[in-house]
Amino acid sequence: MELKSAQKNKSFRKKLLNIFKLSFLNGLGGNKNRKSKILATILFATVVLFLIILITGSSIFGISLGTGIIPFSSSLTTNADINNIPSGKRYPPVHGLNLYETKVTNSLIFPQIEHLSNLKKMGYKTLFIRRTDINGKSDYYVKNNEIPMTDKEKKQLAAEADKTAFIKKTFLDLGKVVYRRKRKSNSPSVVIVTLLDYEKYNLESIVQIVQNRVDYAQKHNYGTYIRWAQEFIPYLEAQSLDTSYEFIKPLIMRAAMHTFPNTNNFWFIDEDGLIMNLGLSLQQHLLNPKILDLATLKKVPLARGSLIKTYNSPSISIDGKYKDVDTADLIFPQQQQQQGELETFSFVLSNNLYTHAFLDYLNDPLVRNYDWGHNNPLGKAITHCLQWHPSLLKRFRMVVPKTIASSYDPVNSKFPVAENQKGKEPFYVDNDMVVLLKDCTKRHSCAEDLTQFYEEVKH
Amino acid sequence: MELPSESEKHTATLTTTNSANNLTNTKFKSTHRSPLKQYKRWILILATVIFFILWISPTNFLKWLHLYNRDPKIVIILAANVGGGVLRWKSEQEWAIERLSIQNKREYAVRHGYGLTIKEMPIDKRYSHEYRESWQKVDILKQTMREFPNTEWFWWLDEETLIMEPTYSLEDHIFKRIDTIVNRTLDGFNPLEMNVDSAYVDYTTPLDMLITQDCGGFNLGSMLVRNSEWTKLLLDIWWDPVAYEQKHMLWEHREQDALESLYANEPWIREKIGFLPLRSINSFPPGACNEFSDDPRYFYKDHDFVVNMAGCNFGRDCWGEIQLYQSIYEEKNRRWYSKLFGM
Repeated sequence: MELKSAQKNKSFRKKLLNIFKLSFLNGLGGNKNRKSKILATILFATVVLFLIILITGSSIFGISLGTGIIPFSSSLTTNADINNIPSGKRYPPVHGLNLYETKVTNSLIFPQIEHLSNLKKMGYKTLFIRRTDINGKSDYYVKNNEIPMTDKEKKQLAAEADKTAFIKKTFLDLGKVVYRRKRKSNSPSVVIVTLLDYEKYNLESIVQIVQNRVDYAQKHNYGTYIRWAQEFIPYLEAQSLDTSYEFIKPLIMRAAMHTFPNTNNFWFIDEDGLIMNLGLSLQQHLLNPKILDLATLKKVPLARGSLIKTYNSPSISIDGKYKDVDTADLIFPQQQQQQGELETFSFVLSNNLYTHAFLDYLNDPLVRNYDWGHNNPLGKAITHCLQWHPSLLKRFRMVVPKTIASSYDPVNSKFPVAENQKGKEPFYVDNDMVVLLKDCTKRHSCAEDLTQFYEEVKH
Repeated sequence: MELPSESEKHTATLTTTNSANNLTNTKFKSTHRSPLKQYKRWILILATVIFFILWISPTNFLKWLHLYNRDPKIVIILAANVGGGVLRWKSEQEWAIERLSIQNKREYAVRHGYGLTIKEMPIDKRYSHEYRESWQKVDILKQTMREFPNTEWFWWLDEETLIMEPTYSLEDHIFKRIDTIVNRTLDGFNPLEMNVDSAYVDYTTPLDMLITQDCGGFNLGSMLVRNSEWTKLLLDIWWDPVAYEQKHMLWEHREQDALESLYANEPWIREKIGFLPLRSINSFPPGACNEFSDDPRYFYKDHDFVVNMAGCNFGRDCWGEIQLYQSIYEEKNRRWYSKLFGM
């Protein structure tokens, strides 16, 4: 058997050799007829060509077979001379506006409100550092590399007769607090974000505002992230709350997302507003896909007269599931009183690439310092952003104001509404979830309105 | 009987041998047919078919061999026909540069199985507004991403570039050693003197954009972008009228300057951009950045991957520079058979 196969092999080899011999002979002009001569020449040429390609791996005629059998110059240079990073380079860990942070496990984060009157007295000059550049322009700034107080230091400072240092430190340390739990699932599902202006309200009102958020958060296991608006003054170019208050909202939202990295929903409510029905969870009331779909205003111009409209994407796929729930990242109500405008007193953002990009865009000095006009500058900036950037518009839902942005109307809210108008009133009525005290500053009635509504809150 | 002359004798012997030869031949035919003869026709047909496949359509053949695919993991985007001869007549040399550049990338792409897409950049009316000038790059990237939805990385190359080391694959040269050659912060090299530190930047996430910096800041003449959500979002955000309205007089390098501004101010952008050393994918000829001629970080040296005649349109001789590097390229890649194929 073995012998036979060997013979076979031998004969096969002979055959092959013969083919080559023949093709060679013919290619070089044997005495066969013309037709076979041409064909054999072609065969000869093909074989030679193939061999060359195989050996060199070159791209003759644009053909290449891998990198070739014989690598001519495949060795890479080490590039040591152009590489200026030491191997195993360590990058700084992710941090917020401050380099050093205090980790806490309590999801209710809010300032020491009893310092309010002291803060008022101290003013920016004591709280921040004043610096002047070569051109004579001066501004307030804070160092980002200060280490937060330890408990011991806190006690020491608090025991001092002059409380200024303690209050200043406490004020500056609030921004260094981050919520970190070992288990990601322990993070609250929703965090309520609010900015407090210690110059606008007295202690009584501030207590009402904070208590309202904390009560609501405790009821549903949510978190709170409440900070002084003044804390953000050094991060602004126009360093006054009168001009920049609206643009502190994206700043605090970004800080909140860093503080609660594993929380997905951040609900901002302005200090001029209260959650009136503490029993309703945000998830049931708004984030539930069915309800969100019902509340979404589809094919509505982004601003009055705008050619760009909100998407009319069908939220329910064929199998009855809400497919675009996870793409609802930017939830803004329409303003109740000025139809068409975006409401910036109450909105919900998720915590992902799109919202980070959205907030970073709004926090970009080029955007923040653009002249958006005096009326609702943040709303205008957001509208602009959505009109020009469809990838964000895709993630945007404009919802009916009744959901989280009913506005108190001092005239109409006090009268009973006609039966057929119920549920459609363009102002706050009993049983709405949220009341926004818009224009209370103009009316000089913020504190009174707050007290009035605070007593009506449903527990 | 006369004796035949010497020559006649010779011819006679020749004829006899010839006839004998014929005889043996016929005998050979009649007794056992050679296998070679038997399959000759088939062998010839097969050879012809292979030959024609190779000759007419090498790409289809490679596809069949799985050496070429429609869905390459890496696609090279080559900007060509910049300006398109709209504002002035395109010179002979400009055509030649274009041809050279395309040929150079094609050979490289075919060798490594990458895709190559050549994108025309003529002056379109919609880019004629001063706000929109030279923003085609962004639009082309968007369009190419739609065209190749399954591609992982796109390598943008300007027209005036030459790949000098065709044997380097992007995998070996860049992606496999991304951790050692890419710097994610500006601490090593910071020509713009931007803030090195930024809040909210997580350096542990994968990189989506690899660019280089030259003496004047970011250089996007040769850059790599990953096909990702981030990149799509960046391409959407990159051009914004609010920023441009304020800066279009200052932003000389338009999309480059805009990206610098985004990098400086928006952490979500910073997080995903890595800096390759200039000479890893974007070496300069001595003419570019010439005020730093003693800085070895900028200029082409032997074994550098790509050379970019950056800014050669501004008062330098593009054709001369391209020709110089083309001749170096030919010198480096000459083989014994090169002359045979006119390479």
